[in-house]
Amino acid sequence: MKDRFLNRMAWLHTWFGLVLGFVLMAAFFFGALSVFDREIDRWAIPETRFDPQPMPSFDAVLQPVYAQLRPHPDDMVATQQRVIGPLPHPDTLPMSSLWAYTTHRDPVLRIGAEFDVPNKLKDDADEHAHVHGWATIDPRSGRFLADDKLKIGSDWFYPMHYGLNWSWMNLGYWLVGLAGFTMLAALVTGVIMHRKIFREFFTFRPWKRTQRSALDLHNLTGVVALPFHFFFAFTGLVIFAGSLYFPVGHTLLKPLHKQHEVLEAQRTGLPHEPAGIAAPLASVDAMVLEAKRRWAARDMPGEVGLLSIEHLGDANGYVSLYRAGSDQVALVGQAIHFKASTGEVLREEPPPGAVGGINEFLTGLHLQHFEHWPLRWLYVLGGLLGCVCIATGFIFFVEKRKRKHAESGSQGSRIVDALAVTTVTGMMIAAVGMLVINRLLPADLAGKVDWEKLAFWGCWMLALAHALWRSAPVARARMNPAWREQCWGIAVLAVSAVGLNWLTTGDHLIKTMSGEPYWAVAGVDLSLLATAGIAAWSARKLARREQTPVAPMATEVVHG
Amino acid sequence: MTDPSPRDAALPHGPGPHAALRGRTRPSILHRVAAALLGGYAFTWGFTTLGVAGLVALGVDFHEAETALLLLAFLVFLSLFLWAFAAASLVRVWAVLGGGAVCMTVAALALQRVLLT
Repeated sequence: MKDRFLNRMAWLHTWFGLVLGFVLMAAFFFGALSVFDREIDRWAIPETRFDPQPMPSFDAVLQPVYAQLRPHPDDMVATQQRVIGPLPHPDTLPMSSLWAYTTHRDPVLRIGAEFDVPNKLKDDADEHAHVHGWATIDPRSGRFLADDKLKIGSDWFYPMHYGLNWSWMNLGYWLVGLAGFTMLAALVTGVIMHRKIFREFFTFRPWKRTQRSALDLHNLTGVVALPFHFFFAFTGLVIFAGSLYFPVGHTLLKPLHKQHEVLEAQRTGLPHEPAGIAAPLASVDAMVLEAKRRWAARDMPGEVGLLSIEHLGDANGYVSLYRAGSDQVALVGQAIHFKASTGEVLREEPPPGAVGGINEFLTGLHLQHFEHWPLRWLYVLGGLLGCVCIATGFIFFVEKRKRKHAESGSQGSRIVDALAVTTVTGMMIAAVGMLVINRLLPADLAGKVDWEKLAFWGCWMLALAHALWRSAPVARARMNPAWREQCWGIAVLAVSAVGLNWLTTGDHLIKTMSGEPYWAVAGVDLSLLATAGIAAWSARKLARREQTPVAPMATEVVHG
Repeated sequence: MTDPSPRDAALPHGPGPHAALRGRTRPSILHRVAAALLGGYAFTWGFTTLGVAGLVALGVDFHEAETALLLLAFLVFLSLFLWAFAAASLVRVWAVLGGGAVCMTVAALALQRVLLT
């Protein structure tokens, strides 16, 4: 009875871990990179290499910017598919709401708006008769930044982390969700399997056979960072639960949700619907001053992180100012709402309730917008420990089976090993290769974004092809040389990226570290060099392991 | 540490797990995976929906109720998922998960109707 239970938990751990581990690896690796997404953006878009800026003056800088903002062509196409009849010309659509968002790490400012469309919607249940516009601006001047520059950190690595950049039917999100859920299950089943957890905690025998040291490292990284892994997988799921995984408020309980919104609007005095009467906009800068004064009076002085205006140009319009979360775990908060036409305070939000507070704390800890650089690096370390845990799981899976497979002629471990190469070293080749291409292609090349994305997937596919091509030794119970060769690939690419950054921008490490310190770029360069060093060291170690003769078929039961 | 059971028989990375499943046909494994994933997911949907409606009926703010249930949802799902793998009878798994999902969803919709009138 007990054995059957343990066997089933082990089966779950092994097979769910293997199949979804490939996705989980991407979530952990790109999650670790996302901790420094803004800094990677600066590296990839050299014209944005200036210091982080506070929210600029709305009246002087932002108002003229919003006057020029138009619905985005991409969203015009998407919205056209949801409405009956052709959409009017984008220039004629009235802007009904707007937002601007920044953090303590952003030199550039992201802005966006919703524009009303007169068309009827095809689906009655669809209530969103809007088309969106968005842009990135230089907050010092209000100048629009070119739309065709890919923010490789925050618009590629970051969404890769939670959606694989695969938007078709949201499948990327669902796969990552399933992988995150698998992580929770794998952690629980892992603990059940390894009951001698405290002994294993201190067990690492790198001098032993690959199989045993891989298992040691798998247990060590799994246990030492267990709270970290569980926390991130869990909060990652919670972040998307309300909108994607369990959207009860938007489906089954939508009527209840709507009733709540109407009641909420009455209670808070923030109008749910526009009045239909035109009204001018009072000075938003004055509202910002008042908000800052009120925050300071509550002993929490701060900057505006999020600014939004609802029912723009309408008598029911209101301005919401949220305090930036540089010094708190929650992203933004302490919102103060003003009547747009007069600037009078409509509502100062009370602190969240107990549950809301817990949720803000948990999701805030995952999304980490607070200002704390050592903690940021700990996040990276935790993410990479997760990668090591998953990767050693793959290696253990292969090492345990490959001798048996070599005898029986099965190709199973050979294929799993090639996929593991692709997910471990191949993924790094894709990420670093993308940075190299970013520096090689001229800045004004039309469609540079698409070339960069193509380079990312292309590098990854090449890594897969290479891993499969070189995989034959695994079927003879030996090591795939692709591991070592791709490590050299990473080392060469990473050093090239640093060199190309110097050549194309003049920002070499001596300058970014001491001459005119700019740690965002210096940090990316230093990380690339560290990566190159570790990759080269690994390649040399692997070369030595490849030389050792195949051990005879193990008779020992391989465990703890 | 003082586990009296013969440890080797239950070694997770030993021959155990595969020996245990070797006798089973592939469809039966897929069936269990489907029951654990889909059944567990459906049950959690029902649980979340009924939980939110129930808390709102008790006077809790809608978003507060929603947040509370979404924080619980994945822990409930995880427990059900593991239980579905451990349970002896798949029929019982489907009965509990499927039946629970249907009952709770229907109850939540009925409760919502009462709350809105």
